[in-house]
Amino acid sequence: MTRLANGGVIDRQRPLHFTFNGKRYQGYEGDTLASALMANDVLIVGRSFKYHRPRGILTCGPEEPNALVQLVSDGDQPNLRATEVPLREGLEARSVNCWPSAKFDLRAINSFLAPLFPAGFYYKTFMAGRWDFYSRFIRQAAGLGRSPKERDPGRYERVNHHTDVLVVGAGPTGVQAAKVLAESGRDVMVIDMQASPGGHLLFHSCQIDSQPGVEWVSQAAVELRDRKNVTWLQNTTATGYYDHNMVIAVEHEPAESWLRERLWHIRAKKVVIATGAVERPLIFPGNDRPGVMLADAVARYIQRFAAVPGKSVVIYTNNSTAYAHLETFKAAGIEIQGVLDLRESLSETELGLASKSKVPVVVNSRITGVQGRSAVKGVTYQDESGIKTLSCDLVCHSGGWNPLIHLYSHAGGRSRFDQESAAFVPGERAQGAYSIGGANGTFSLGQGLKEASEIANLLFGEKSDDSASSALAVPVTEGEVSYRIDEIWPEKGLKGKAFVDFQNDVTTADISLAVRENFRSIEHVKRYTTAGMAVDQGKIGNPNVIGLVSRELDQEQTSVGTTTFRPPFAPVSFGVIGGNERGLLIIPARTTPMTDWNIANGAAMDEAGANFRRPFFFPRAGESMEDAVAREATAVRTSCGIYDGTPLGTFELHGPDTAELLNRLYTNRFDNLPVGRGRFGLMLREDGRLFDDGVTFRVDETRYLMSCGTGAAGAVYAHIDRLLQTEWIDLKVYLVNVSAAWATMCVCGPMARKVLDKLESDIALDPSFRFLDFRDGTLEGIPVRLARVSYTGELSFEVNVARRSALKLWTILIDAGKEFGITPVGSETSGVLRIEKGFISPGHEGDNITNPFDAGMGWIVDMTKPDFIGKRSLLRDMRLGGERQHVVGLLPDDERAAVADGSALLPAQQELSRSGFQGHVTAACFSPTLKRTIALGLLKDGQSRHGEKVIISGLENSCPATVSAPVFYDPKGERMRG
Amino acid sequence: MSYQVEVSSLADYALINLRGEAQVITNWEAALDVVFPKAPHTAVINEAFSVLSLASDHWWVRTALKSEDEVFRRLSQAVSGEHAAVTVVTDHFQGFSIKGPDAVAVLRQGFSLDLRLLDSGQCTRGGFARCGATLQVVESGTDYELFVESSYSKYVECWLKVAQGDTV
Repeated sequence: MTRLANGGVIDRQRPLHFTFNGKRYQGYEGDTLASALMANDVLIVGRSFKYHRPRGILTCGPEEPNALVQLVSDGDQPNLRATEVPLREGLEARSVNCWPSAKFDLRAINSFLAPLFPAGFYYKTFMAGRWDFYSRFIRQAAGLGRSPKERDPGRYERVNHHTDVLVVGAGPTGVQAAKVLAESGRDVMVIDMQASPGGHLLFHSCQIDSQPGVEWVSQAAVELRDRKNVTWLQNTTATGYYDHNMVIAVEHEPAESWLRERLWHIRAKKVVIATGAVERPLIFPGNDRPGVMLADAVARYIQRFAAVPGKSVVIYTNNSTAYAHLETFKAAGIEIQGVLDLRESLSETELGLASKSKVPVVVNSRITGVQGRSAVKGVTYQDESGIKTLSCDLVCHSGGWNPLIHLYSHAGGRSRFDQESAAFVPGERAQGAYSIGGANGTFSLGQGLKEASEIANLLFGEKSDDSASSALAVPVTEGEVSYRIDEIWPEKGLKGKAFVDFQNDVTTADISLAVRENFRSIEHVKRYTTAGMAVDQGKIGNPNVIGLVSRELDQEQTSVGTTTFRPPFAPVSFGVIGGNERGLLIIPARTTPMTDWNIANGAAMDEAGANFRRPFFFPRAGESMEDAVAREATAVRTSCGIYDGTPLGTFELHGPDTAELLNRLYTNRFDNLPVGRGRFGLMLREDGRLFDDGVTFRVDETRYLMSCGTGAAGAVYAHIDRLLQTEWIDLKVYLVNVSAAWATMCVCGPMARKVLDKLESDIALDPSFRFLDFRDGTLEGIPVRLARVSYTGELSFEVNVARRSALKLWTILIDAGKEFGITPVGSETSGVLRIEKGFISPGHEGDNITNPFDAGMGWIVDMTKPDFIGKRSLLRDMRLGGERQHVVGLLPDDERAAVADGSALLPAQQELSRSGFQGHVTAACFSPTLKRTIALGLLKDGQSRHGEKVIISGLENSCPATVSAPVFYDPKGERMRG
Repeated sequence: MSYQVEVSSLADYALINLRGEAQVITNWEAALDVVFPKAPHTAVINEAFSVLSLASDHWWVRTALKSEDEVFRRLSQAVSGEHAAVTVVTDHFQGFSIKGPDAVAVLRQGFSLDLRLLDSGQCTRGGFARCGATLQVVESGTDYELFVESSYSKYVECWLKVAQGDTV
């Protein structure tokens, strides 16, 4: 085991056992899966996507491109980065994208076929022939990991949080900014993706205010956490920065033990981005071999986890930071074979560090190859004197630092290329986003702390001398190695594969090829080569791609620019995105007082619009849906049915101008509606198309009760509210939503009156109680409003009752109706009954083109009224003339034909004057009353085509049908008026 | 294994919705012998009534269920002949009490509002857990009353349980 006897922040008193690729290992509390694998000498962790090359761990953070694993324990979770998975007892993980194993992967044959798979090979190879043929094979090979098949056992939470300032990153600069801001009394939230505060100081020795830097940060963090105005979260990654300074962050393993992750929606007035920087790889042949790692990552594994990835190292660099690790490596017992530096000369500091560690340095040298396939055995390099070899089992390389400008860019900030640091750094700022420290390209700790203090003091436009916080002195730093880099690119035409995107296997040759093929925009190069499109989203590789493209095009990197940074910064689980909106909470399901009764009585439930669940039908034992619907419909036509109409929208309208309002909203008149009566109304949109319909009752001189369709209720309420608040502010009307205050139960059928007659009531049900009358009174002592309204075409009484008494009255009605065979009816049955009656449903026959005349509802349009919504558009329709689609009835020749809603209507063979699409079926059913299939449809010029033949053409079958009037049953409406 | 919060359905209350311009407020105040809250999103509470100001022309009067008819009658008579609307909405809403040191931890899962800005005795309306809600702050940070449309009551009851950390 390559674990140091001392050091690190792991808890050696708490050993943890885990399984990787079927083999058991041991790690410690505080380990990540990556560090534990490293400590157990596991070199090959996964395979690359295209060539299936063996890959080891490259980095120590969320930028890891190689070590993707499938977490089998705690639910199947694919594509987690081993560097981000905290070790726990019993953890079980395995490699992805390999078969039969990561060590021996048969698909590695792809590596030998590499010449066939250059950049863009998809586009070149599969242009000819049928994509659906190729895609079967490609899809089999594609994808990483396995989607979980079981329900995710994890629990997640989404929360909203408001703060004055959000500080992203609890490294030294983030902490310094937080200290200053907290002192000023602002509400401050600090989030940090690491388990402990400290940022890069967790891995690098440096003094702040004469104490070790990490201790300075820890002490400041403890003080800040104790403050009431500070919210502090570790293990929390900011994944996106959206408009209005909203930052989304994922907290992993929150303190609340029942939660796996928590999604934070953070709305801040200002955001300080102190996310630091990530190390950039160098480009050289074999830079992807297991055992080739980023230098800073190796230092991190040693310092934090006491895990040592090799015994003998060659360091390869173009900048100063690798020299800061020499002592760390030596202290860990790693033999340093030498430093190969691309630069021509070193600074005094760098030379001093190398000399102190007694490490040979070869300047102006470059690695030309890595020996070993599954493990590093050595490197070949070239210096001024020729090609040489060094034996080693570990190669550490450092190509400089990339400021993490992702959040800044999400916010809309622009980046610019800084020659001195050879990196893209924040440029023109957007929203309230302020980058500091490494994230701002300020790689000096002292400068970063000064920058943090200045930004924090000026964040809210306060003068620094007015703020109590300005009294906080900028901390003094010691022991820094100043950052110095020479950007040196590999020579053109490298021999061997040198990777710029590790996960997607994009090489320098692929970039050159793309540019040769005239892809000049960096966005096009990205898509053609897939560089930066893997799980790591090019965090470490993209700057190298940009650099290579700039070299190929002979352009400045600034003019090449970056690709677009899009959220999320790091992959986010679907679980945490969904939060608790799953299972019973997947939709905000609405219920009526009768919902439980309906379910208990066997209703097949269905979504009925506006998130209501309603009975679809009530099957009895052994009944099919068709049988149940036929039984229910027959009961309504011959005896009595009852259905729950509670989901309908109900609004009270108060005020002296309500009649005028209704006159403007509906196509027909309401100003002559007497008290105690109701009237059916049709509501149009401004464009004259069907919007909604319903019955409105006049309760007293100035008070009305309006009902509307379930699905349209929200839109109708908003429509009226908007008109009253913005358009017709002179109208004295108040609108009150009482939809859920009332429950509505419809007793319908020829026996309906007899059912109600059985109940003790003060409401006379004699013939003076006419169709569209309503009466207030009691049924069995329960206050009700009875209305004569029918949606079924039968004698119907709509019983409206306060929600609190609804279930009681419902069961009373059921009991009273037993002797008449009262039958609960579902929405599928009421749909059949409405088709039989030819009642227009704006949700079916209204297709955003249909106007009332098309629907055969000209009888309800009073064009003599001064105005109503949609009148002007109707006048336009009338003046334009031309052929329009009309609602018609359809009687298939085959009386038992199965006709699907949406089937096309085509001209019959003998109809030579017409061709092409004629319309479509809007609703169809088998009518138990008429004992045949019937349908409603929209047909071109349909009102003049009654008696003609058309073809109903569905996906599965077609049949001839005769066009008819749309009312199939009781066309005079005698039954419902009876 | 859950937040320190007690959630319960409110019972024995009546809600009366009032809409009217400034000139009718005095009528209602006289009818109930209560001074209505004038500042937006504030509430006035006494032994018999809570009066919530929801908008410049919109109030809720909350009282005991047994007083529903009587209070409705008094409020209606007070504005007889005036342009105002008095509507019983007791059944349209379901109230929940959310009490405990972690009350905000539960509420912030559903509200995107800045709950820091609401002091004791204030009220507000907003989106909550994908349905609308009215929130009354009894004691800021620890005691809240939440009203949702009754058709959402079962969903919200279940939602609150899950948000508390319970399983359903």
